[in-house]
Amino acid sequence: MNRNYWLDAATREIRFGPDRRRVRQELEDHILDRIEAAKDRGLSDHEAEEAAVKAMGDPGPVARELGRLHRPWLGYLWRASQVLLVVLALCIAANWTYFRNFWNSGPDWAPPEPPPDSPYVWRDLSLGEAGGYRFTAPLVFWQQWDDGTWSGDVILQGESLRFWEKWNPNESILEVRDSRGISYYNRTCAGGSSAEGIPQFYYNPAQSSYTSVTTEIWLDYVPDPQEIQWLELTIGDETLTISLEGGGAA
Amino acid sequence: MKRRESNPLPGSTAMLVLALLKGEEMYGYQIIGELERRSEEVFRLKEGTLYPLLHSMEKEGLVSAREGQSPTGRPRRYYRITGEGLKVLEEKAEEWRFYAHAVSAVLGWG
Repeated sequence: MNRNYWLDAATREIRFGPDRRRVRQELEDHILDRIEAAKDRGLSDHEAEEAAVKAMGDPGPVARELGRLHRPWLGYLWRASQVLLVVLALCIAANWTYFRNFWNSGPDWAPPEPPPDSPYVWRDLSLGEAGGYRFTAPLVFWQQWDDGTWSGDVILQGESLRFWEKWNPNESILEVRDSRGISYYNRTCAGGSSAEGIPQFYYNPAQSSYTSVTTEIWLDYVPDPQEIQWLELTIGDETLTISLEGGGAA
Repeated sequence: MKRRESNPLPGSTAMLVLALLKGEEMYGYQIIGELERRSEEVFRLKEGTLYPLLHSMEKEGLVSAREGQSPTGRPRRYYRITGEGLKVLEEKAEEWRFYAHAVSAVLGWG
């Protein structure tokens, strides 16, 4: 029996290729050492190989034991997980822009500064929950322009620990109403075109991170904002109330 | 004493291999050689059976293996005993001392 025959027989029950090759290599190393030793004792190449293979014993029981020890499914599972990882990495690489935007999107955005002399400024208002997000208004203010018209700014921030979901305020803020029943015209939906003189709102694209989304809602042509006690935002099916009672503190 | 082709003491080969690896890191062929030399050729394995034994001990965490190279550049697998292996060796050796003592006593050598 030559050594290749013995090695094939002893490793044939190891199903996972890389495992089989590794074990075969280890066994072959042993046989080659044994052949060298036999040749040093003066045996011919052929005799030395015969003796070395004979010393290894019957390959049958060795094959059965090795087959039992080197379970194929573990190897295949390992290989499958490697392949999966590579595929996943390729998917992420191919859609990198999407992934980056998913977690951290929106243009560079700095929160607006309220006019320094305005008495109508509110900060860090807690608004409750909607759609699984906990909403706050870090900043709300009214501002009067030179022509006497008023505008307002509402910074709306939604937080959720469910980073795999994404609330998109650009798609879901549908309605803004105030305590007097005035419904604001949604200029964002109208493609951003201005509607001179009527109460209206639009919002800047949101800025978002893993767990929070921030958007700036801008209200324009707000009549007598000092009389507004609350604002109501309808997001999808849910309503958030921003209470502005008691006036603001500069 | 006559040479034995099979292991005369079932279950003890693992203990002997662990005992050899306690001293140093070894590869398979070296283990066979050391086993024969130290037992004055009383213990001789069918050499192929050493590998399922080593691989099962590796799986059980009694030995660990690393891929190295022979002096001639062939890939070679070296084994060393682990902490768990040392513990098992200690237990087996204790059992063996107990057994040997009992046999000696019955044979009237004590």
